Amino acid sequence: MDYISNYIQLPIMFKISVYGKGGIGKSTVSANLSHALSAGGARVLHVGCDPKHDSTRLLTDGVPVATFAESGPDALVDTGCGVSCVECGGAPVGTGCAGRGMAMLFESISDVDADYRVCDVLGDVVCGGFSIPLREDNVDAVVLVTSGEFMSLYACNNILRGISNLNGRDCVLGIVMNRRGDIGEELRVRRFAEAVGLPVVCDIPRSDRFREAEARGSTLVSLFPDSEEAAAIGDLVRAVTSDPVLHPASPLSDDAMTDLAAGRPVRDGCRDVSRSRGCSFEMYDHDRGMTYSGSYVMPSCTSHGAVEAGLRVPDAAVVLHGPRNCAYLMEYAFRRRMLQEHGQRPGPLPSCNLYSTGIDGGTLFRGDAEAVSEAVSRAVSDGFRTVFLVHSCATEIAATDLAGIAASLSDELGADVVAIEPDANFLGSRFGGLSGMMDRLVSYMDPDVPVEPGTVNLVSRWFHGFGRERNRRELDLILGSMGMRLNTMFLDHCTIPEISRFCAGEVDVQVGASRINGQVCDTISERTGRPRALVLDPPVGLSQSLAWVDAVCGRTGRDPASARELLRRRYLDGISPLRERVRGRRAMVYCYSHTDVQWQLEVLRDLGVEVVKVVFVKGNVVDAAEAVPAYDGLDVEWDGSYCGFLEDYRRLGPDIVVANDHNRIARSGARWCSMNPTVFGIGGAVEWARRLCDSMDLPTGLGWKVGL
Amino acid sequence: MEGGTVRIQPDGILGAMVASEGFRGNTTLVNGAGGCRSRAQIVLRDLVPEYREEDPRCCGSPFFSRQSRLPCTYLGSDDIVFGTGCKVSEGLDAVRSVKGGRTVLVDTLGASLLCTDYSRIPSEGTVICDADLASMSFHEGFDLMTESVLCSMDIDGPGTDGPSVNILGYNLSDLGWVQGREELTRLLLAMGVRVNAFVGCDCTDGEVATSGSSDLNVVVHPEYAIGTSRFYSDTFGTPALVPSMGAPVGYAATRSLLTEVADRLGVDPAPALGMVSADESLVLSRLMNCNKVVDSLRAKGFALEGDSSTVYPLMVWMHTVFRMVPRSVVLHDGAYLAEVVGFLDGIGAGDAMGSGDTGDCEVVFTDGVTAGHGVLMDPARSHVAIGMPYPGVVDLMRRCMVATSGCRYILDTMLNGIGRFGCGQPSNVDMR
Repeated sequence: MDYISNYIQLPIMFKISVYGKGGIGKSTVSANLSHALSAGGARVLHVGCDPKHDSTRLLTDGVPVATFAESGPDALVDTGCGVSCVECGGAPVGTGCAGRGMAMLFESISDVDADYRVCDVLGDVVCGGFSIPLREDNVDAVVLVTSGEFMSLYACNNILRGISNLNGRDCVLGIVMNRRGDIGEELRVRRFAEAVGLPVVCDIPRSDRFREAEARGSTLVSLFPDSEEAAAIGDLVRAVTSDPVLHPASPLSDDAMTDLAAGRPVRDGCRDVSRSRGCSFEMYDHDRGMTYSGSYVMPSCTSHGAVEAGLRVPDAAVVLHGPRNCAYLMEYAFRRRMLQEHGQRPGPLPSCNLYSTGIDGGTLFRGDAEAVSEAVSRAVSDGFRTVFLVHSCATEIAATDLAGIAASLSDELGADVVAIEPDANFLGSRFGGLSGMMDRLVSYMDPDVPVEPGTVNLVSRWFHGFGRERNRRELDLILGSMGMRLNTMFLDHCTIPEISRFCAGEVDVQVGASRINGQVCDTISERTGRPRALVLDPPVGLSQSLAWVDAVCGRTGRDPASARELLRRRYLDGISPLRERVRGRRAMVYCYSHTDVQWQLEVLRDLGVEVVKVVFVKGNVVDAAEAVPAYDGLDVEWDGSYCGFLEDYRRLGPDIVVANDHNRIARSGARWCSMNPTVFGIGGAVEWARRLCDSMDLPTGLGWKVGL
Repeated sequence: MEGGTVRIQPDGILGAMVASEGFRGNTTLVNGAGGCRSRAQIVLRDLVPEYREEDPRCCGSPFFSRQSRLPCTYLGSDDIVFGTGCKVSEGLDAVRSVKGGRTVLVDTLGASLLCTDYSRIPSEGTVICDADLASMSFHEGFDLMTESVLCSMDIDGPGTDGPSVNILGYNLSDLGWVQGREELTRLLLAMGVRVNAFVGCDCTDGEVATSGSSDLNVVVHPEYAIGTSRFYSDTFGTPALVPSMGAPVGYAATRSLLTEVADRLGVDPAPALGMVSADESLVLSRLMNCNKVVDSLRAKGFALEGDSSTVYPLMVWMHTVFRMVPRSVVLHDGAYLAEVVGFLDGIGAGDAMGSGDTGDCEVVFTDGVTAGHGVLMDPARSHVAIGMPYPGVVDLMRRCMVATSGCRYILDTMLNGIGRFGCGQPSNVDMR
């Protein structure tokens, strides 16, 4: 029985990991190795790392064992022949995460007392299931199993790349050539072995005895101990037991692998160049069409936008498929915002219909469909007939099939369970999932609803306080001046029936020219056949209010004259009494990021204030193709800086600085006035004008900061 | 009220972050996407009232993204494909070079799925907690992180210079923890007992360094400190006191804690007990001036939801002193489950356990956001915040939960929150 080597007592467990292309015979080699080691007197722990859990069956008389995923630490089985076995198992094929399960398994078996641990590892996949058995703590020797097929050798080379990335030590024992019987395979394997500097430690002939042993649920070495094949396994056992020589992982470049495939001599100097990358923080926000660069990094998230939008549909529930923490922080942010906006919006505070699947690493390892089902069932039993399922980054990494789960839950629960399409670019947006959620909500719009003349829909991702009562009054005043009224603000706490009646609006207005809003309006137009929405900024001041009148009247064929006159009179009635307070004074405008400041300039002009300069500071967020308004006749600096502002301020000596970055401006000692309106419409401009006049008369600085 | 109740509880990831931020010498590096950082930052800003100026050295590093607190690896799609090792190691270097001290790495669930090999990262000055924090409760995550940080610190062994204790479990989730620390320190000092460290509650490295010499660990909130307590016991042989009446919430529980500490250390509790009684007398005399409201609480219902070490003494206090009846008790942990159930059964209110129905309650003790919602939308009854999250409160009123300040905060909020107008004589001299 040549396969047996007498076991020499080891001070600590020697850990072997067997790698190779899928289907190449890793499990067969591993099981025979484990059996042979134990036959020599060693205590062996055999670990099946593949979720399909078929590594140990040859050691257990063909009887499948319960997996670690199913039974936890109780999954450790003693075969009675010196080999303890455990199968990792895991979620059904195509779901879950092998890596997390592997980490849990290794922690669980860390105190098992054995002389050798043989890990039968997944193929050359890129995930934690591959990498965890390679970590320095988890392996002493790596065995590569290959045949002479090129793809098998290619997989070996990839594994060597993985080793060089993940484990810096010399840890490769060598190559096991598991013959398929192809012509020239020995030559190819030996050329590859030579090129990567590894020995062929075992040459297993092609043999039907392996198939026979497998059919009988046993290892070949136990059924045919005196065979040629068992002797080959003995070579591997000796390589492991007799002072093993370990080699570095030196993978070949793709060019060298091409030489190998073509039968050419492998070129010198074709060692693989490390593919390690530097850290990159530059991120493109695909929702907003802008790039974050420099030291300011996009706080990207997979689910933030989808959850935030979904929570503004009060008769639907949002199930966030992720850890509790994600949902907790989103619920916290939503409720906090609603509390802080209380008093600005009529009626009760909106409820937060958010549910969490509460997954963790174990859930993803064992399969997460049940967690989704449980959370959706809770939402349905709470009375929700529409449930939105939203991915978190963890479940996107684990590639959970939310759409499939949603379809089956819809049938099972009789509710509209909808998986929100994740972003095309994973972690590529600050408002992750927003487009998917908005797309879905648009699909509820019924294009056959009869149009109600004189009604207006507003469309925006965020309504900048349009829900506030004072803003609504201003908006109603503008619309009322044309004899019109509001139909729906999409999406500002709209129920699904309200969304479905969206098409009753006579005209649609996209509030704000942002890319996100534009996409939503495009989708509405495509899906419902409605004319593309008018694009208008939130109406502050006279000219923006008049722009609403002109655009809406233009679209609906109304005469704007009386509406224009009404608004103009209201504006002048508010502004005129203030002129005497500030006429002839001088102002400078300092604006962090490119924001349209036309209405502020208009108010300054109408108050008789001279604008000496307008400075825009670009910042690190690079806006893509943002429309820049023209400011004819003014000294405008488009790419300014705070330091440059200070120089200009000292040189020009304005009476006041109008700024949206007043923290910084206040530090300069300048007298300043915030450029942000507290209310929209004509009322907002008049109120701002009064604040500007008061700011001119107030001392500089803030009293409470004196002495700090 | 159901619509306003925060329903989702945080998991161990946030617990680990709050624990880490409870050590002054730590900088917590979040290994995850930027979104994981931004909202956790808001939670932490709510919990730490002290103004900490932004460190200008943070401006140059993307790991900080121009904000000093909770730097982040800002994982993006590339990192998901190629692994997080580069950002983790460079992030640790960046944090160390800007902040110095210890860097604590907290893996989010998404990051943990990428299985970064932390064994290859130099361990000096770094604490890595790569357990499956998402599977843990907030308390367990807090406890594990506290223990992990302590394991990385230099702590002196037993000493002999007078009775001293550590306070375990008390943490930043008490809105007024600054005041709470002062109160507990003052009361214990009155008995001649020095507090070496409030472990995980804004403790300095210097305080922790002396914590191994303490004679006793006072485990104020045991749900947060089982592992931490075991660490001290195993490492330094420090015994632990788990207060029989729960955390020092209410006068009776405060007195009980002080007495139990004095018994274990062999000191006289009288001076501290005298301070508590003096405060109680003053408060009760004020309550006499609004006794109609106070007396009207008799047989009225109240609801509690929170940490069991807080809920238990609060429930006993309300029932014993004001004769109120618990109608709903929801615990976030099991540390005092047996005591709570025993008490409820003892007064015939067993149905209240886990009920969650706050409909017939005059007073609702709950988290800060739910209480804030209740104050606005349900002003006819009282809503008292006894735990996080908080709705961005600027606390200038020393609103802590523990000791005499805690008693005042709870009574003040509770009694002033009752929206009842007592018609009739404003005073009734002959009845006093």
